[in-house]
Amino acid sequence: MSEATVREITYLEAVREALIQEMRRDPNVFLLGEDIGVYGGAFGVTRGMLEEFGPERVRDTPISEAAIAGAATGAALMGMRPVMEIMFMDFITIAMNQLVNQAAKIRFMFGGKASIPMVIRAPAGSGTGAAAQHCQSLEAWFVHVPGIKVVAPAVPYDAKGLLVTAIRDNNPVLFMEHKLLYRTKGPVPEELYSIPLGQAAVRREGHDVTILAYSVMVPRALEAADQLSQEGIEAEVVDLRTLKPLDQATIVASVSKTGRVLIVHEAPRTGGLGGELTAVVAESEAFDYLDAPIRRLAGRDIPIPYNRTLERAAVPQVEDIVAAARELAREGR
Amino acid sequence: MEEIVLRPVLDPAVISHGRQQLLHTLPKERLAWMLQKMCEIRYFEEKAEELYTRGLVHGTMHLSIGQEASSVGSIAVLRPDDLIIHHHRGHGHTIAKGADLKLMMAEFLGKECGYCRGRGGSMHIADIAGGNLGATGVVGSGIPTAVGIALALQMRRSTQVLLAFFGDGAVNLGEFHEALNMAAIWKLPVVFICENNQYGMSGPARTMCAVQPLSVRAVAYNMPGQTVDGNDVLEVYQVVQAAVERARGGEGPSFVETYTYRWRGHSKSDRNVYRTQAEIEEWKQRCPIARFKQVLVEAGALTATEIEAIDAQAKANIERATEEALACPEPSPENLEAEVYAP
Amino acid sequence: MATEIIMPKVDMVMDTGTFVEWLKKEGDYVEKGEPLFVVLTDKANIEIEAPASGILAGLRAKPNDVIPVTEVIGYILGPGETLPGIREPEVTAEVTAAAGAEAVAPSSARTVEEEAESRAAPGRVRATPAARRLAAELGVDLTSVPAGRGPRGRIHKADVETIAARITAIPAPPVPGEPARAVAPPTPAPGISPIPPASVRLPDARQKQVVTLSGPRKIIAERMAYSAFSAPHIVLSSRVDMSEVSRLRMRVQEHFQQKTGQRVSFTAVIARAVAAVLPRHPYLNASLDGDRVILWEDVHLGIATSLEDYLVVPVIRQAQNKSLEQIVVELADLVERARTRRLTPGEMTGSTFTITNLGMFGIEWFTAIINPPETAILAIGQIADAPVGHEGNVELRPMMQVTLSVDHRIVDGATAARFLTELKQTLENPYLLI
Repeated sequence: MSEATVREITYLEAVREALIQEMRRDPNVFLLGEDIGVYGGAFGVTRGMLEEFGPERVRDTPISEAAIAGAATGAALMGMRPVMEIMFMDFITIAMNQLVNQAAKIRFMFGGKASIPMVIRAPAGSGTGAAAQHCQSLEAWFVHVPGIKVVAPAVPYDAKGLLVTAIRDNNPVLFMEHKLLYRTKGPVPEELYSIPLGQAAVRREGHDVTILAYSVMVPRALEAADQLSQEGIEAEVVDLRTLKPLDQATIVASVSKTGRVLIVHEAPRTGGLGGELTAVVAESEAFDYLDAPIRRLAGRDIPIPYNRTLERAAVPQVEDIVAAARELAREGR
Repeated sequence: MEEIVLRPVLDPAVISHGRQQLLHTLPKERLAWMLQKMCEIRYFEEKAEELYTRGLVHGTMHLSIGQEASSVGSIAVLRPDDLIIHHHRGHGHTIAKGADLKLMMAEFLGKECGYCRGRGGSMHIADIAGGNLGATGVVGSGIPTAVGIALALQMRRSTQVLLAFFGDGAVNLGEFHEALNMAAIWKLPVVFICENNQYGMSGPARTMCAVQPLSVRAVAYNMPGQTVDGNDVLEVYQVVQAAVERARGGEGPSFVETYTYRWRGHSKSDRNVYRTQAEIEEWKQRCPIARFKQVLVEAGALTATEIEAIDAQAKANIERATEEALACPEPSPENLEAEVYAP
Repeated sequence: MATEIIMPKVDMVMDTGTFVEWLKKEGDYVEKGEPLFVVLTDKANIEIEAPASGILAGLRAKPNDVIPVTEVIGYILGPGETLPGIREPEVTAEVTAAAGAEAVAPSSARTVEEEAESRAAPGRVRATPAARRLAAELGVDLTSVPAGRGPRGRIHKADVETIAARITAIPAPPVPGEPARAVAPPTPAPGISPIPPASVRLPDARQKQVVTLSGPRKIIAERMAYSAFSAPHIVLSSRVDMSEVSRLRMRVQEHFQQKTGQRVSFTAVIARAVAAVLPRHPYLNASLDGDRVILWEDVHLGIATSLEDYLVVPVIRQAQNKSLEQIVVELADLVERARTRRLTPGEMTGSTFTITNLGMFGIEWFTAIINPPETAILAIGQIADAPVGHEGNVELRPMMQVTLSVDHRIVDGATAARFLTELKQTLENPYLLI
């Protein structure tokens, strides 16, 4: 594949393209969610799809998140491959019982005699000024539930490839789409392809400090790494891509190499994925290579505020990553 | 503006007449089968209770003794390929849907050969191959899932229908409202069966629900609704049959309330402090199995000897299943993580 | 905040600098840009300018201290500024915590808590996992590191590397009656580097793999290069008839094995012989410390042990007082733990004489590089039947060639020969040992 021939499209278009191509390929795949039909979804992801696939497969639902999740779960139990959209990840709380107590449990609870192949698409994250009830990043809750997988792509190429894999996966997969990434562009092949779950990507190699990031924090970490490079600090940026299953091998290898790790996520620090990542490093063979304490740079333990300045201050920005990585890279050197 | 009224599933006027008709139109084998299932449910639960007392059943269990007509009367209507989804008090539905008694008892005993290989227990028995899509332990949780199952049937243009069972405790959940509305707007092939055994644990349905009877709720979702005598297996049969026909015909969901009573406590830890012994005794007089036997004899559908033989057979089936289940191996705790996700 | 005065990096390949002198005193006022102190690099003395204007305080570097680059060696206080929390200078092992504290003027700004935090409790070391791992590999005792470069004196990997590079010059075995002390590291001879200078042209060949010289390998490279190019080696060799040792070994083998569960190795017998003979040859059991030679009472016998990727030298302490049985048991334990990398740093440092044996590889003889600061090393070849003249006949006898390298700065050929001859006689009549 030559770089020159790959066209660039947005993350949003990449998500849509994965949906369209999978729906053309497999008649069991269908969409359901609020305002996804003629409206095209709150963020326009499914725009134009009603025309091609009709109202049965691009199914507008009442504002009933529990029933949406239940309908997806039941249909998946029957062998369909529903892709449900939760308009804002915050609203997933209403669907929690269906997802956690039904979708995630059915396979194990019934002795492995059923499976639930479904995808929950959830636009997440702050930066849009939508404040406390429309900006959350709730991935840690789902990572904690056996039976659900969690995917958080950072670039358009992954958004398409990972969504295709999520749709084909025989389990409930929470697919986090960051609202600020929707308009970012990147090379995405037109043909249908898939990316295996559970494989992190080393976005940038470096030997001074490892930055573990996912979703919108990946481009921020990369920008920070470029700045740090000018100061002589070479950061290695690992894009986790899938939060569950987690690619522990790549994390451990990178931290063993650099001896320092900065974990960056938007979700609040306390009880966030960063704690789990910290434990993964500390319990691994990378421990013996650590030459500084493991550091977390996460969202503050506050609801996302409305005011632009306050909102920005609530979650890690490029300059925060630069400062934290710089301090960590220099410590004891 | 049109007056909003409760539309019955089946004209109440035909029920009494229809009961007699059924005794003659249903094949004798079918009637015998219904009686046998009711007896098996009763003996199964009594046996499970005994095993529990002997410490062989782990956890708790929710017995449906006294409610056998509701499950058997509903499921007897179905074609073998039709589906059910049900709830924690689900032993009756499972047996009525044709479960292998040995695999079922093995699940109670937590055995590897049980329906869920000892992972689910009494509260979560599913027999996917047999069309029993499982019992949920969270009150009301199966109702939205039922919407999805019925949606899949509709999208595949299937002629199968789904019976979705839940209790009176479930009708005050948001999930109930969301699901019934969704099923109604999409005209899904599902029959919602609310088994009103009068108590949500200790909470009486008559004081916990703002409207009585519960079938009135159907009005809000523009679907037919009807309350039937849940201890009369033939009345349950007639109304559910009408609802199933409606669903199969693409006319959408119905809501059937089977008014019944559980003789035992909510679970094994229930001390029955919220109701009187007199009330329990009164309902025991309305035993659905005794009533059915009487009706069968009176109508000349089955002789007393035949009924005795069916009863004895049911009891023997449970004894044999229990013996075999006890001999099953225990599951291994190794590598359970590998079972969490489907390959 | 007070301005830190640090050991500056003034040369590209510089890891440490030797402090020469302060040009100002504690309490003096300095102007930014004024010459403040002098540092010796391997090229020249360099004057370093004051990084700020103010009062000098907390000056802790002393002449001849070897200090890692970026290490804080003092402060310049502006108006209203006070000294930050104490951080002891990482100089040499002789700087005890108490001495380090004295070197810094107490500041009212410091709280008791800070003071407590600044120093680890006795016996407890604040170090990163990577530093601990490297210290274990290199045999660096972290309790001897006064303070690391991390926050509150935390020891990092780079601290261990710096310390390990200096171990070459620090004799660890304590002299009885004299407190443990370190000596100033010798100034490496100019131009000595384990790594070929960049100007050397590499062969024009296809590369298979490029291995970075790091960790233990790098330390070994530095130490061996230092030894080879600073200590003029002379090498003496002798053939030893091992008939009697073989016989002795056969006789006692069963008894030893029953008693200790270990077989008597030739290395153990040779070690016993060396330990018995060495006290009579003090200059071969000695360390060179600047312009003096320390003759050790104890024979701390190092046994070079090859691991997959590098060498370690586990030490049998006070071997002169140990029986063959004790040596057999101790050696078996040390070698086993060396191979499984479970030796503690203390068990791998402080030898006064080293034995290295390549006999098991079928090597007839070889010369070894002295393990500094020792003055001699004994290289053991294989034992093989060879024709030797005996009472007018040619007989086949189990012969072993031993080769002694000595530091000619301290040991002359005749001194070395006397030791080697006595060792040969002892091995040929090993019953003297029992």
